[in-house]
Amino acid sequence: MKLSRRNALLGGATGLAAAGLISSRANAQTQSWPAHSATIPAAPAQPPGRGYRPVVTPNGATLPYRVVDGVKVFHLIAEEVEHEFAPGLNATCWGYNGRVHGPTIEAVEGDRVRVYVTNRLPAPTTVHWHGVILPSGMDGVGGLSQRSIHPGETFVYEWTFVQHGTFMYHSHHDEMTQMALGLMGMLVVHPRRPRGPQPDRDFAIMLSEWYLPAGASRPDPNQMSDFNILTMNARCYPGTEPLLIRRGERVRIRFGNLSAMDHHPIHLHGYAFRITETDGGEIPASAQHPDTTVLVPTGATRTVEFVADNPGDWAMHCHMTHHVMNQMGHGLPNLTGVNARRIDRAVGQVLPTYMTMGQDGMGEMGRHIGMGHMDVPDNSLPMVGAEGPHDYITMGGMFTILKVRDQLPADGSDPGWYDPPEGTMARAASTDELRRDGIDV
Amino acid sequence: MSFRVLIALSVSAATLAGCVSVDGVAERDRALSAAADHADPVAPYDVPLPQAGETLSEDGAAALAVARNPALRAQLAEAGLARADWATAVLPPNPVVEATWFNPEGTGAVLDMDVRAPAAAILGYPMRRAAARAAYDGAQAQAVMDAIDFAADARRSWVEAVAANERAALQQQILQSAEAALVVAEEIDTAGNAPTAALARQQLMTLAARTDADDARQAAMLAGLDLEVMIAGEAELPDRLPDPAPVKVPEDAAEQALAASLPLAAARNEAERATRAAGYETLDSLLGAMEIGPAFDIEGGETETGISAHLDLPLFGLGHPQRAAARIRAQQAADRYTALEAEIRAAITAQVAEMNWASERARFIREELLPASTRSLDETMRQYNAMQAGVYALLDAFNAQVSAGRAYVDAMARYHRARIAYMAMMQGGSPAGVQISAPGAGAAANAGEDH
Repeated sequence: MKLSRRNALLGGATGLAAAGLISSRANAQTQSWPAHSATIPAAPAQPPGRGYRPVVTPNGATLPYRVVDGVKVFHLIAEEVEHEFAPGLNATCWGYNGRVHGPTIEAVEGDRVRVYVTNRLPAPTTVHWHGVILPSGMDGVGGLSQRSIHPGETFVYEWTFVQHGTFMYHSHHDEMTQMALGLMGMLVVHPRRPRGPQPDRDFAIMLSEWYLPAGASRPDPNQMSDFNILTMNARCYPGTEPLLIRRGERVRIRFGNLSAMDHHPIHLHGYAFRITETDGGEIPASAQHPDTTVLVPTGATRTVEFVADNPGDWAMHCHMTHHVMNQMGHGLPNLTGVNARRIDRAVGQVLPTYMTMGQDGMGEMGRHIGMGHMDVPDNSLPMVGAEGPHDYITMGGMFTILKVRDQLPADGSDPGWYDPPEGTMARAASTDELRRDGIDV
Repeated sequence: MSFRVLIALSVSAATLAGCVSVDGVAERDRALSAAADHADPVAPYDVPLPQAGETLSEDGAAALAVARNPALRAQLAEAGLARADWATAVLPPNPVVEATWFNPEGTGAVLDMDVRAPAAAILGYPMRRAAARAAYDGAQAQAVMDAIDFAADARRSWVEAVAANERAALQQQILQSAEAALVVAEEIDTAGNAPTAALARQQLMTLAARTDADDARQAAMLAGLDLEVMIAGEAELPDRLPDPAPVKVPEDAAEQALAASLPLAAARNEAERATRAAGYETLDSLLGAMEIGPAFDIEGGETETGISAHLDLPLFGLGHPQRAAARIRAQQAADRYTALEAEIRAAITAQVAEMNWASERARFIREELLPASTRSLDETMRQYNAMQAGVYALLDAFNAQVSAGRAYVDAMARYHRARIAYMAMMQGGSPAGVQISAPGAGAAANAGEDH
């Protein structure tokens, strides 16, 4: 596309304006695109936009691009990838550019983008740009929009972004298999003329689910209901990277959910946020409601925003309790409340290393394994957690931590555990306190 | 014939009567000594039972059984009886003396004396003597074979007793596993975590395991009793059967077994005896009860000699049935010999095949199946630790390992039974009468086969 002087100037102005967006409130009004694609006019491509705060994809990366004749050119390579869900749990998955999930694609509303997709998988594939308004033939539905990309082939997709928001991309050929193996990623399109202040922290998190039997090393794409690895950006706790935020910063978190069968109610501790956007577009301010949990349906995105004014280590997780456990076994005998010693004596006569588990829940399992008390299959994770600053954190799966601090290390490294000020941490009640307050234990 | 000659003959006969001695104990010793030449061990007498803390080996069981078992002693006495028959047969027939003395009106004593002997016995003496010798040789061979077979039976009894004890121990482990599962089910039921049907199901499985364990204990007790009868005493047994040791089987094993076979030798002797007996029977049936001998008439100091004959008139039969029966018996003995030869040849082939099959099966279980069952149990334990498998699945994996152990015991018992039968036959024992059936059909293990 030929770059006119007008457009070049406009692009430069946008770039200059972007530099001041951290603290300024832009007065320029962005045209609010209606959600319905039929009303979106075909807009001419604009110069490549650069005026945005890049998103951070925890545990992930952003796909680089080059500009060729004013077009942002991206290259996605669909291939088999050796992936780590968390330390000690690895699997052979399918991803893009050596990553699971694929790197986040970032662009600006009005950008003309050209995406090359090379297929190095053993099966045909396509890429669908989920939520993006584009020509039908670029939509990426194998057999409907295009011929599928055969192994070894490279296809090219090209369109102009006529909207901004949070979208996703994923395979749309043999979806059950290819998405179950990891072929998906986040796609963020920044507004050309942002309305309101830009966030100080902008995070993109893809939610998904897998079935990986303990000891196996390839997810089972045929699973329909008994998923046992729930991930944020293809990582499960304790493998999820914390979100590092300085106190007072405006935070935006974009959730995308391409789980096969489950919605995820993502709950954030310590804050109430507003849900500001879906993959259909911005939610008008008057329609935004406060919440502490955002339900992210499968096949949808939800964006939340808040100001991080409450320092601490804040859990953020799916509130479906089975989704915050790793590789949980089902169909086991319910041993809650049994006399474990009696069972240990009886079974121990034939299996000396046997130890009853589950009589008082699953909380101790991870610690026992971590201390080497039990031999478990290679390439498996305990159902829950990791050592925390005060005790074992009995969480796993779709769980991460927001670390809100007054100051963060300059190199962006983890600031460590939050040290609560005196008098602001739950502790054992003293006898005097119990007596004083009339508590009869 | 003069009277003087007659007296001289009588004295010679009396002397001859004492030449073939009959000593039952010596005959038994001779049989055992001959058996020892064929087989090992056939121990001398007074083999003591193992001391406290010592276990009875297979060889020890065989030696003790041969030395102490009264049933074998009774069987070996047949050799003494056969010698007695032979001793009878080698003697010439006793003459019959018929004497009449009278003194008519006091005029002087008249002694009328006839001395006769059965003509058939006189004429057929060589044949009868040879037949009796053959019978004795056959009885001796039978006694030796009895000793060898008895030793093999004792070995088999030992194998069955040890195997039965192993099976009982393994079944006890299965019972313990079922009882452990029952404890789990009871606790789950007490905690209200499962419907009552789950507990009922586990109770049923435990009762079934208890029944199986009782059956195995009973079988072990009976096998142990059988061995005690064999060795005429009690002894402590090892915990397990020994692993198969290589047995070099010659290519001409069948021919060697036939050459060494005592039952075949006995059958051959019997055929020869029956043939000789048929010849003697011809004479006997024709001459009947005919007696012939000298007659003496002594009167007034003068002796007149003549010939005396006594016979049955064959008015109602010439002895055809006797002769036919003798011929039939001779042919019967010959046919039995031929049949036995074929049986021995087939049996040795079968025992070698069974030994090889069972040895390979034992190796497969020892080197592949048992390790696989152990790996399965280990991996299930790891899955249990990762809370991917429950305690019932864990106990099932344990039971599978015990079942593999049970299969090993069965294969080992089968191997040892075949080995014992093969060795006994190579040493001259009788065919073991192996049931030639598909693998597994005999896995429940009868306590030894009949001869």
